[in-house]
Amino acid sequence: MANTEIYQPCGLAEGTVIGDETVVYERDENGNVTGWHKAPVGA
Amino acid sequence: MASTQTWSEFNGTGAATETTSRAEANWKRIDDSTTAYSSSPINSTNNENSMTKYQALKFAGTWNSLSALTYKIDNNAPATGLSIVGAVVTAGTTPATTASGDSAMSTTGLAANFNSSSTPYGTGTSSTTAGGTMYANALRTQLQTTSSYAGGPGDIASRTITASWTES
Repeated sequence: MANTEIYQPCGLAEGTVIGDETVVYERDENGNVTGWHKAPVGA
Repeated sequence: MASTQTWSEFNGTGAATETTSRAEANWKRIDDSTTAYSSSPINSTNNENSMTKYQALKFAGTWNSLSALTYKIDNNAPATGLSIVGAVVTAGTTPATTASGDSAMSTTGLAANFNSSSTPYGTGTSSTTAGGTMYANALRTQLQTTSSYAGGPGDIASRTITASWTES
């Protein structure tokens, strides 16, 4: 069953820019958020 | 016959300086294997990341065959605002606090090759029949935080990184 709640495991919306880094969400094949990481802006 | 294993940590330029037989590993804001983590904390209020940490499993002893090595962590998102990211690498990069760009560390297993008797950096092979010393490819991890973390200041719970392999 798909997760219908908005899961923000980092507490910030996807794409939030923090300094020179941005929040990237990770999703499974069903589109559910499974994790997150920061990546350099523009990477 | 059976292999023995220890964890090595790598710091400094090119993450090339090895500290052998590590009994612990802490994410912190300094690139060394000696400073207490409490002396170099990661400030989630400032959305800080730890230094990237390079570790590798180091085999010794005798064996017929080693294969199917994986690294995993028990939990890569232990709280809102905390993420432990990781990747198996074939080259060392000087540790830094900038985001590694790696994805959340696998909780099911990242495949790693067996590299050589002298370094964990290189392409390696998926199995090895040599005895003696053998480094698995290195694992790079980083603790990333955002100001949404509500548990600070203070220690976070310990995490367990597991290496698994097939041996005969």
